[in-house]
Amino acid sequence: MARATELIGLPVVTFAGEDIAEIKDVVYEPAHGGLVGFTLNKRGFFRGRLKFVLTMDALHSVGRDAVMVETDAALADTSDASDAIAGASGERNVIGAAVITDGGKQLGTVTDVVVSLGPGAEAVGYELGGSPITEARGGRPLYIPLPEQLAVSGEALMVPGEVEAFVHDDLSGFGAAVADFRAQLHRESGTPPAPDPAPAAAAPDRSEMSRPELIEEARRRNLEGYETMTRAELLAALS
Amino acid sequence: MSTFRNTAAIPVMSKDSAEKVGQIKHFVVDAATRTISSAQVDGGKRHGVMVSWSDIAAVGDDAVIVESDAVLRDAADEREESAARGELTMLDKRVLDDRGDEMGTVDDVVFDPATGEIESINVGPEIIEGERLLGVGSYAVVVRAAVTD
Repeated sequence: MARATELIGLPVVTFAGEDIAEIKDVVYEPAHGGLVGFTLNKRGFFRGRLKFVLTMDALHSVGRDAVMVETDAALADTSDASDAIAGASGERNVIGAAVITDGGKQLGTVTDVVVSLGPGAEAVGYELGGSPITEARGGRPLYIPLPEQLAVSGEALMVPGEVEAFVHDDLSGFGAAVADFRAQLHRESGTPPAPDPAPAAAAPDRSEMSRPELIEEARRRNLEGYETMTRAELLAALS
Repeated sequence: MSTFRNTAAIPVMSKDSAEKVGQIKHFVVDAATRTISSAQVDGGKRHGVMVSWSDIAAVGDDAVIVESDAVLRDAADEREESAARGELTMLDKRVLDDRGDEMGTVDDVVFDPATGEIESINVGPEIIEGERLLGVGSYAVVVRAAVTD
């Protein structure tokens, strides 16, 4: 998991080990809830905008330290790229949009898009701030999983009320929340489950977390000897 | 087995003159075959000359042996020129896996002295098998990510 803004400045590296560009901006399409690709800058001291873009289907993986492509053929000339990325502009910008549930509750405004990392990188959630809920938390942002379907306008994103039950405090364990939330949306049910009364305080489900994610949580909680624990040991120690 | 650091620390000797012709400074690795294709020899009469790995007769504990200094040549292509400038040196270079996560920097590279084949890349405590090598570039050494459970 990473915030989309954390990807800005990452090098684009080929399998041959050359850094051929760096991420200028993340192009996101809120109507489809997905990442479209990246606009690019040149690498090095005299950086400037590169007229090439990188679309999600052309890249190999989005990592914590680099965006990997097999060869420099992955870069597409702006004029050949899809309109979605070539015309990336403010109107598609989701940052600053208010997030309102279909029950009429404003959860906050979008401050960032949360992206899952790896070969199947995709947008999985939003970071929210600027609402009574986040102010009550001392201004700390909260995270909501990205619904697969949502209405979007220039000013607001409409999300299902169920999303409230999956509000998350931080990015650790957020992957599991996303999976749970999607599973719930897929469950065809006439009776949507009652939202958890205190969602932010609920114990996170760690069953789907990877060992690195568990280690990260253990580190934050100052657990002793976490570095050498197996995933199972970490799960036991954290719960 | 030999390593890049050990091999760079010993002299390159000519078999026919018994003279030192220099010392290996940079290795040029062909990622497609995962073997050393050539090396740059420095500190001899001529600076920054290349030797094809196939012209190296032996890599011993104490010396690298070539038949004669006639095997020393100029950089043959762009990649060798780049290597001669040190841009493709694996040692101390950052290692990225194909997920885009940095693993550390190369501490040493273990190779088979008979074939020049890369056996493993040592990154801190981690031993990356040579088969996982994808590329050696000016920015990074790229390896296939370990298969996680």
